[in-house]
Amino acid sequence: MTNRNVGLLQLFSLTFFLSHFFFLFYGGNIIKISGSDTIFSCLLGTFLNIFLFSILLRIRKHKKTKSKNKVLAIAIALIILVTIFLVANDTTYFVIHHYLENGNYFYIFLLLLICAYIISKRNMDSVASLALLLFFLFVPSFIYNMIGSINILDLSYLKPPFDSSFANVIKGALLFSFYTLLPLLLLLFIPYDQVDQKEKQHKYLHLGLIISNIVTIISFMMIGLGPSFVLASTYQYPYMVVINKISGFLVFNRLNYIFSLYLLFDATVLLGLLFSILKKEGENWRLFKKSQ
Amino acid sequence: MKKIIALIVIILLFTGCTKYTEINNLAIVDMILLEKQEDQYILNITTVKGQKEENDTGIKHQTYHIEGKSLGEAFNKAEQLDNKKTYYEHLALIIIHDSLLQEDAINILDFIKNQFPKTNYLVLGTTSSTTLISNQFKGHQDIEKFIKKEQLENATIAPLTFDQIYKATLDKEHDSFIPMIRYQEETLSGAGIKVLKNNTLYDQNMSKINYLLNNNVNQIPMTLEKDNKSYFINFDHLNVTTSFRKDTFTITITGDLQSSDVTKKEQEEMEALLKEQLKKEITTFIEMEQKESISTTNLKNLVYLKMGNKEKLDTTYQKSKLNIKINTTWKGETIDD
Repeated sequence: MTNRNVGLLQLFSLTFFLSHFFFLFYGGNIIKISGSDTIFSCLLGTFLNIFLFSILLRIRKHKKTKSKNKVLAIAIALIILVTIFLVANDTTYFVIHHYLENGNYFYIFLLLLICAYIISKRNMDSVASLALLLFFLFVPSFIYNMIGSINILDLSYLKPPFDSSFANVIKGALLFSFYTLLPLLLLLFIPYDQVDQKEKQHKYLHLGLIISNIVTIISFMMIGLGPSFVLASTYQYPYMVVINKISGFLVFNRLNYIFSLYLLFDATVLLGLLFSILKKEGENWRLFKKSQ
Repeated sequence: MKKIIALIVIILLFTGCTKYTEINNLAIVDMILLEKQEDQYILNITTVKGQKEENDTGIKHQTYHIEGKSLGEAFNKAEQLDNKKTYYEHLALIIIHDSLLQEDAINILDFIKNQFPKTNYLVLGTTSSTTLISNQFKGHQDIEKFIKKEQLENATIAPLTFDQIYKATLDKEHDSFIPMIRYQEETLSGAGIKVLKNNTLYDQNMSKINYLLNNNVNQIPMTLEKDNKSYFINFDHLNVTTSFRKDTFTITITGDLQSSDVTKKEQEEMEALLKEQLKKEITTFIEMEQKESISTTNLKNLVYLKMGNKEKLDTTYQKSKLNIKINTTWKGETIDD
């Protein structure tokens, strides 16, 4: 199969989902550290992200496309395998916890891996195309949840700035930045030259990151102004407390859990991309061995 | 490769949800009542009865009475009821007896939160026997109807969900409370609210002011006495806003007044009387809370929001003055002179 170029919007969607991934599973850690100052931490983290992401994109631009180091190749493969396991494990636990209480862990885990493998069967651009499609489904679901949460807003638990210590705000910001940027390292595996209109790609990449961070901050605000950070910090998946309480319109009131499925799009895209990278690195290594 | 994948998928489809239980084998829990008598924890569980008998209308319920030396033991015994697996996803109401609230309300709420992570069910307290209540009220709907009727007619009780109560226990600037009910002489009635911090029971009047200041009620009925005559006035479409500035709480209440007892001539006078009475009740309520350094409303949090630090928070809260503004508009038809 020929390697098709990744489109700008596809790259944008990929960046969006990769940087948004941490929110569902690990967003609670930021709330536990920063408490009612979570929003400040996220804002600070966003500024840090823009700076660090620019450095990452420069590295990506000048990176050599094919690895010739055997140890590095094996290390990358192992890291990707471990990441696949961790992501699939966390996603499976979440699915069992919230959707399929009677589901078998092993079968859901396997089904996730098979789905991700099938997504990655073609090339990386097909994962990016899927990301774009899922982005168009993400937006209305997120807007629906935002509108639905207006009913549960409670300003009586607002706290003054720096209710938790300044050090905790900084820690929260660093953690936010770490969580957001870590999956974006996978963009290093999408060669700079393999993108349509490559001179414009940095703009779209930054846009993907900023919009993802804005969506994350809005989601944290829904947690803080709805159930409140103090309540949400006692739950493993704080955002699900908001989902539980969102009132819909008429018949949609019973469909809150279906409308919350958009939260799994991040993990789907990430797993598909990880499999795709693993496959691509394997191919590159085989070609390199053949050429020797 | 494709065939192997297809085979795996087919095998997985055959497995289904291995721990799946048929709906007829589920005991769907509607209401839970908790009590402690001597050293025994009593758990009364009301479930929805699955199979209807002939000529049955409406939902039928069944109550189970379980005892244990601890709550954990009681819930463990309740895992299977009549050979059916207990299913809590449709839990609508939890009633906790005062005996448990007196002992250790926070731990009880922590236990409930861990046992039932979804927080949309209502929580009530009671001083009456939970066994009696569960025998008399077979489902949560009747109790919920009573609460909504009381809320509308008397504003002395409001439906509060678990998360509304629980988050106040976690927040240092809020004090949580539970609405209380009483079952006496075959009648259900409101019994005020129980403040968990110091186990105080507020009477119906204080509870009404509490619900008003927390925006839990949309209307308040008031009975005013003048010249040996009673006037019933409904103060509805209420909206309460509170602010704190220069050591003064400003409480602004806006709403509409409706009454069939008041003539057009008497409107101004009755309005003034209503405002005076309401201000007096609110002042009494807030002064009582300030004295005990309790805040079941948002007032202490407002002080914290303004001050930005917790130094002298309690002192500032206790010493703050009160400024109550009530804006009313007469609506509806009044009797002519």
